[in-house]
Amino acid sequence: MSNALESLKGLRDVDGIIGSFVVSALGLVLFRDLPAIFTQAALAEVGPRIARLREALSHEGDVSNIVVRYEDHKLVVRGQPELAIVVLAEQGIHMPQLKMALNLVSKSLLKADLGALAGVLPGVGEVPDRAEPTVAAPAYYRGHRVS
Amino acid sequence: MPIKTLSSMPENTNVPTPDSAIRQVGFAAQLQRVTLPDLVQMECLSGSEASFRVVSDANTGYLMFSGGQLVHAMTRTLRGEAAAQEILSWQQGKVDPCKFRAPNPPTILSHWQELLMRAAQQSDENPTPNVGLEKVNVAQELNDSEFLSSDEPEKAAGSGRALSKVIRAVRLDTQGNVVVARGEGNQEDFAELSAYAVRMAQVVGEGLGMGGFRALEWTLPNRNGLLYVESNGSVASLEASPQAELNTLRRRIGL
Repeated sequence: MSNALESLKGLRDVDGIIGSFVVSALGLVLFRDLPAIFTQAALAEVGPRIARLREALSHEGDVSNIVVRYEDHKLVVRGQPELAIVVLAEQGIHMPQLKMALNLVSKSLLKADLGALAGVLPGVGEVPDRAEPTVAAPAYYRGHRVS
Repeated sequence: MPIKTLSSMPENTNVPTPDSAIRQVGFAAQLQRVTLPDLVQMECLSGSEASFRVVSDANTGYLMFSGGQLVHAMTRTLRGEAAAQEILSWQQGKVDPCKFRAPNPPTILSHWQELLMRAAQQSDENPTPNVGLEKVNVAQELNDSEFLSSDEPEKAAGSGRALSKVIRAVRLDTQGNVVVARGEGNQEDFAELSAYAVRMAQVVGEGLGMGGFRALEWTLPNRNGLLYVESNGSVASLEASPQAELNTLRRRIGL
């Protein structure tokens, strides 16, 4: 599990990333690397909705990539059928850099066999809020530095 | 015992006669050997507000009625009167009611009787269906102001190439009514999918404090999707082959 969390933290090397989390096919948030402003309760609501969005869009095969654009931010969802990495980013994030980083993190997560983990471990969605990342990269939310 | 004819039957004064009453208690029916002109005539004379999906072999089309007129028709490649003429030329198939609502303003201005006359005339002159109708490329269709509203025509023209690989597309008004649908497959399903995806993206954004939802893109094994909210609140959604170049469209809608 710690390897998976470390992989998520690696995404912060790309400028403009606010944080990320891993969500199962059922919407359980398995791991998170997000500022504390994003509460567990908020993620518990968001996770199943992201899962439903993925399911709805998977009408002609499994959706592999989703980019949602909001006024100030982007939400990028990359994943396999069993789980997905969700990245919260600034609007102007460098997408090629992010895609490359997501490719690498996806490979790491697949090695950890998180799909099996999500199905077996009870309470796996109740991962506590993350500790501060070891990489001292600044995080921004809506233009304000939050860590 | 003599058989009573209709004229000899006593009048039943308890039968409700207003149209509204008839509609409320109407039958669901499956009729065979009904022609499309029969359907048009029946719907127009009854002042119907209904829409129908017409399937004939590999062809699918839609007929929409309002206020006693056929006001809109569309096929995979045609819309308006041209689509109505093409559909009316189909000789066999299946008709089902559907939920599409006719756009405003209507795309068919001719009286329904005139349409039927022309269809019959065309059938006489040209027994091979569909010959002689001017077909419009789907890309051009998407490029019209009804689907992709644009204040800058030159940019709209530039996006034609980007849209040449479009598989299907729908446009929904703020109430969720389908005002335009193009392309293959069940467009109602795609409209529902698009509307639901917008809602999910909105609530996810609200939950994470991301600001107002603008657009959504997705990648499937054999197609890419793009959905966005226009300034008037309408939702435009399309799926295109992976070979489609969507950057022009993205730039045009400010993504």
